[in-house]
Amino acid sequence: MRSRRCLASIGFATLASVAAIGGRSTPAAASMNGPCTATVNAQDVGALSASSPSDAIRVEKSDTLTAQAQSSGSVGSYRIQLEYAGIRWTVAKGEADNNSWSRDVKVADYARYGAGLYRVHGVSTGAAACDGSVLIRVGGSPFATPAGLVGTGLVALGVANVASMLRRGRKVMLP
Amino acid sequence: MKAARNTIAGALSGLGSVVLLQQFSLLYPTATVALTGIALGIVVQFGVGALVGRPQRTASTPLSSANVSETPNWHPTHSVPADGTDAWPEPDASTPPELRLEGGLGVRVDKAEGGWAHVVCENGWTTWVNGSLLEPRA
Repeated sequence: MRSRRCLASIGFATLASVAAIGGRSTPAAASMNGPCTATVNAQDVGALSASSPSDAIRVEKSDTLTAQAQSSGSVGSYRIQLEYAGIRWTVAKGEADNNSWSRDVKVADYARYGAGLYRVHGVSTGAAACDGSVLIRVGGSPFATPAGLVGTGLVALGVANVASMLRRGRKVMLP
Repeated sequence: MKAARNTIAGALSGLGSVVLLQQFSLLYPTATVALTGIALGIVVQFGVGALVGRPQRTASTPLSSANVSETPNWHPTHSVPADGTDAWPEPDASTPPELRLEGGLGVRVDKAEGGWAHVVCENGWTTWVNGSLLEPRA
């Protein structure tokens, strides 16, 4: 019983510590660099933090996300990128129409492995290059996604190792 | 081996914690957050390992018949003094004792070194004690 309580405490402590440190290491940051204005689903990206979960734009997997950007100068091409744990990859790209561009992205095409928070970047090149980002919160049950199941499995692995150590420790105490 | 297992389990569970928190929309995993999660997972595993590995037992714990069969020729030659005595893994008093033997416990002295006695307990467990404190058995 004591061991179970101990395991629960350890699991909670790890999650809480990561959450606390994660929260501290992601201060509210400006989400638009360059002479541009941008919207995602009609919400002004410039007014939103790209790191605070409370500023995340909520979407469902069945939704289509509309990203639009306007620049004060001429824009060449643009890319829409997803970022996760510091790694970015391009999910859509195209040519801008003079100084603006707009693109629809189906959420289901890029969130088929998980729910939760993702950072989306809109990057444009040209005379008035810009890089804007915003957090997107994809709805759905985490336990119904591959990423959620993998995360649960990995945490269970750590808990099992702790349980194994505690069990061995008890054997030593009570031969 | 144990260190490698704790490192791998810690890193994976830390990463898993970050993924779960992201899936529950509680935090966005930057590279720093991911690395912090991995490091915390490893620290938790080694922390628990260190806590569990600390000597907490006393030789007063019950000895089963299964343990006796491990040392069939074991006969106690000495007894631990009534107030018990500390036991060390090595004959070195500058290191902390690993546990305390309970008073009256029978032990077999199989080696003496300086003032130290290397004793074998009934369950086959061996340790070093202050030999001058042991009471010979008739």
